[in-house]
Amino acid sequence: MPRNRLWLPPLALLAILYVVWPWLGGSPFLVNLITGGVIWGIFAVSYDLVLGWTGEISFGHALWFGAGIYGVALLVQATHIDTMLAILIVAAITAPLSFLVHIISLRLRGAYFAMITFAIAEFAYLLVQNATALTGGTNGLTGIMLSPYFLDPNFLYAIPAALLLIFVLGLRAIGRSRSGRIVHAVRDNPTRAALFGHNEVLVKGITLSASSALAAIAGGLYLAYQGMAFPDAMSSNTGFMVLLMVVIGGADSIWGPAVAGIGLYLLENSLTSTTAHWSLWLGVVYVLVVRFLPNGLGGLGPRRLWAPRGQTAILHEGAGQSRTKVRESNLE
Amino acid sequence: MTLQLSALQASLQGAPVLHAVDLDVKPGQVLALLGRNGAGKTTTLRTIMGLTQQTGGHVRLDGRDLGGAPTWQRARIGIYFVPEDGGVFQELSVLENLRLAGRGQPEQVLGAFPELKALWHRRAALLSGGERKILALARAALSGSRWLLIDEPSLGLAPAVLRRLGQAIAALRAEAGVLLVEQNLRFAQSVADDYVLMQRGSTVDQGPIEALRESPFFAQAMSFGSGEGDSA
Amino acid sequence: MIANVVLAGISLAAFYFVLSAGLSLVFGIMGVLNFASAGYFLVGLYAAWYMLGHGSGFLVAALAAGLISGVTALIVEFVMLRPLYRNPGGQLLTTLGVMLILTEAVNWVFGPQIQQEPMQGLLASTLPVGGLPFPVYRLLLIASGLVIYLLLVALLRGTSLGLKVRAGVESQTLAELSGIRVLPLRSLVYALGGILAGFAGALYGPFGGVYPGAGTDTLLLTFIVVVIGGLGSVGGTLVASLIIGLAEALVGFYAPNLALTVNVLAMIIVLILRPQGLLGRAPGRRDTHAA
Repeated sequence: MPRNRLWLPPLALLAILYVVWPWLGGSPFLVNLITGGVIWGIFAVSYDLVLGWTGEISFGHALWFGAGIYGVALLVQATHIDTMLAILIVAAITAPLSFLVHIISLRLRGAYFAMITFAIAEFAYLLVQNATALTGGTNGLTGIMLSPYFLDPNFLYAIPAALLLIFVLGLRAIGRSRSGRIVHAVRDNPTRAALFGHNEVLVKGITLSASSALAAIAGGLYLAYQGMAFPDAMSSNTGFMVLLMVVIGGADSIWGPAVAGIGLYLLENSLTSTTAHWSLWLGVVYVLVVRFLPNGLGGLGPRRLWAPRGQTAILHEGAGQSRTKVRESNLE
Repeated sequence: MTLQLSALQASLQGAPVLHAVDLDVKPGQVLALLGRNGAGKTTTLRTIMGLTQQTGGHVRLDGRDLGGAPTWQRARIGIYFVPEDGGVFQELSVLENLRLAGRGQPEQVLGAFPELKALWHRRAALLSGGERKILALARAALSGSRWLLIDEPSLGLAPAVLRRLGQAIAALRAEAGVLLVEQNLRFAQSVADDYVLMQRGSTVDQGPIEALRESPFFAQAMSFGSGEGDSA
Repeated sequence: MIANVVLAGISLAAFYFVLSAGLSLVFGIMGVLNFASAGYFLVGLYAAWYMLGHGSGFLVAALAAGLISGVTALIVEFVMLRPLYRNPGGQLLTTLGVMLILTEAVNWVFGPQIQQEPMQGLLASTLPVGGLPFPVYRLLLIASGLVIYLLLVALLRGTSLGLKVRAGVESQTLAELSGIRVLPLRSLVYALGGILAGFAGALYGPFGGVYPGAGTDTLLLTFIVVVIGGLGSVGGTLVASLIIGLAEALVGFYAPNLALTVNVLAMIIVLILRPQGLLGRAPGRRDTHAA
């Protein structure tokens, strides 16, 4: 076995332990909690493609999570098809839709891109709230006919974890591949990448559309987890939360956001009962990470695991600088 | 009393672009910094202003090393940079642009730059290219700077405007030393006293401007047949 | 009746102007989309409410609220934003964190419930306008908006400090090349942004309510106004405030649920077609050619 595959056996063991744990008497409460955490882990991984891979700050990622929730809810309601199939169909529809939205949004830079993503997501959120006939408005959609395997808490617990593992390993492999290097090259120096024939908007548009599809899968799983769809799940707060997770976990490491997504979800849902001010501490930790740990908490771990490409961190000095003001470029 | 660059090195986004720049500008002197596109002329000016990351060597003013002084400090101790596009505030009026330039009364410049009178309250964005450069030089005069760094002043100007610009630069040298980056050889020869040639990030030769064509580096450094400069 | 609706729209516009002018200026000079503004708004809202409850007059409470928010902003700028001077992405993310922290802090101290703003006397009364009662308080909003606008114009157009700020808004590099120290100027504008947001918070209480979610609830509206007006432009902010305020009053009069949706749509369209805003000049387009 090559040295760089040494982590495989322990990982496989961990995966098996994880799956059989509920049958060995894991507490149903914890099983349920962890299920939610893992789904948020997938959501966080999807946002890492935005912040980590494209280097753009989007405040509208909740839109794609919501697209998964409502898309799957409506599709299952209308056709009664298999839930997992519905999730995949919705993800497949989300990808081109997101590509279109982002091709338009990517005409804008920096803060303007952040703002248009925010506005589009808020617009969708308002539509969902107001289109009562279709979405049930603030009452949400309930009584979704989920496939039986999603009704068994132990399966519901295992499926997202399997998907998360596939996504994390797959994305890390893609990140190291030629395509991944192109994505990173475009992020680090779009002008230079353009000289090699890589169109910034196209490369970022594709990355963002993949990210949205993953977010939609997370949303579909979240629907299965909750059994109902509520507009709050796609509010701006959801978008902020996933951003916090990725920043704290460490943008661009894929693992970091996955772990942070799970961890912060678990903390939030176990601490809100004991400390009412969990969000305050979360905010403080987040601000400190932005200030002092450009690679996130994940950056504190062994380098080989967390930052395999030795790339420059997104949040380092100078990142995004060239896009702050067009006028300044006159002087260069 | 010199602006002195010695073994100056600088890099852009981590890539070295200046390797060894050596030159002196004395008061009253107009020194033309010549070389082909990408030789590092503009970067040299930007490095003097602290706008480009200096990685080695020295920028000295009257013997004092400017070290890591921020741009605003360099401006305040008397180095004035006129970028290619003139570097005036487009959203501000001519008067406001002058007010920001220095301690003197804006009206003082009317003697040397009477054409600004009619444009006094016009927004700089509405000025022609030549007017904008005249405004930039008027700001330079008003700032009382003892060193002027002028980047490609001739770019895009008609011959008549260019003559006026030459006069203005000649007037400024009474108060200051001028480091002039220029592609237009004829213009450079008409205003400069001396030249410095740059090639791939380093200065390679210098001398009086009359001797420019005799320089062994001339053909190479100017990528010979640089007719674009001559014909402008 | 229509006169009443229009006047209500103008009063909303006045409020939106106070709410957004600071954000617009801060973006102009720092290039930072200041989410924290929603936090300073909230601090001002609660500060004014607290003082009103303890016997202070409304104007004193509102001015004090502005001051407290301004000081908060100054501290935030000094401790958290200044170290990230050359990292606009980090600054943007930090302001989001500040917003969350301030919102939670207010939630912690004052609780999540909606508080009653104690309004009495003339400010709680109404006047008949177009056959319908019109709250006198809304006239105060209009007056406040107007005064703030005139003060800002006087500051920016009439003082040398204002001239430097406008220079810095146009180009930080050029300003530094003119010997202007931009760093303290940024702190100053940032604090001014805090003051305006806090004052807006104080104005919001009597008609919007006092609750911890007020900051994030108004955030979207602020963004709409500054985008349509053009980031960095005070005149643009005023025009955009009028458009949005009147649109909200008129659309809201006929279809209350649609008002915000229509305004968000307007924001998206402006961002796509004219990212520099209706009156702004600095484009936000991705440049494909520049180095």
